[in-house]
Amino acid sequence: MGRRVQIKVNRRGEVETEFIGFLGDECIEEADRIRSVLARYGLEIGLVDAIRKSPEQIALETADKETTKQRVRRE
Amino acid sequence: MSHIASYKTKIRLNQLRRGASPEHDPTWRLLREAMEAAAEELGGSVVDVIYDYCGAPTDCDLGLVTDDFPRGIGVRVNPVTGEVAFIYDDYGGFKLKALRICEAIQQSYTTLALARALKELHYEVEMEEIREGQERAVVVRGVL
Repeated sequence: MGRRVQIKVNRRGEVETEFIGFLGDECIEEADRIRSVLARYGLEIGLVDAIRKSPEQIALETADKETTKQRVRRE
Repeated sequence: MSHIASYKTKIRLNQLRRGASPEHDPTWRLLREAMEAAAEELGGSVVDVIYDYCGAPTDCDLGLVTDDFPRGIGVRVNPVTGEVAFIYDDYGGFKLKALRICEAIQQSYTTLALARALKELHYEVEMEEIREGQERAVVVRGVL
């Protein structure tokens, strides 16, 4: 499974983001990159709440990615 | 680590240099696109003047009028800070109708900005409109 971002925008322009398939601090770095580009498009975003996913959830999301990496190593 | 996060948003356009055309600035172009998208959704049109309760015109940078609220919602951009303010006269029981238009503009701008930002970061982007009760929400999905 590749890395994905899902963002829900409600009527007031508030957003809820979900980062899927990111390892380690990748998703924090990606959130910062998105925030930086958004500022250039005139949209400032301020964090309201953040929930880290459990190791089990992350393992499920990144399982395919890890398998792919291992395959590449073997070759 | 992956995570889920909620954010509040605020629109702040770039300051225009003296004599520069708004059409050449990406944030101003995006605002116009967002207004046009909101107008299409609500069955209205984009204008550059709105009216008060007495019918007196008020200039704005961009405005949106609908059949529900023909006085219109105006958008004014602070030339120093780039902050966006909605101006309107909701006297006579038009508060909710006016608010509905402001929210449509805010949602539209946020959605378009997110889609542009993700594309710039090389995501494949798709958007889907969903309903949460009576409320319209938009899901922006990006795949790397």
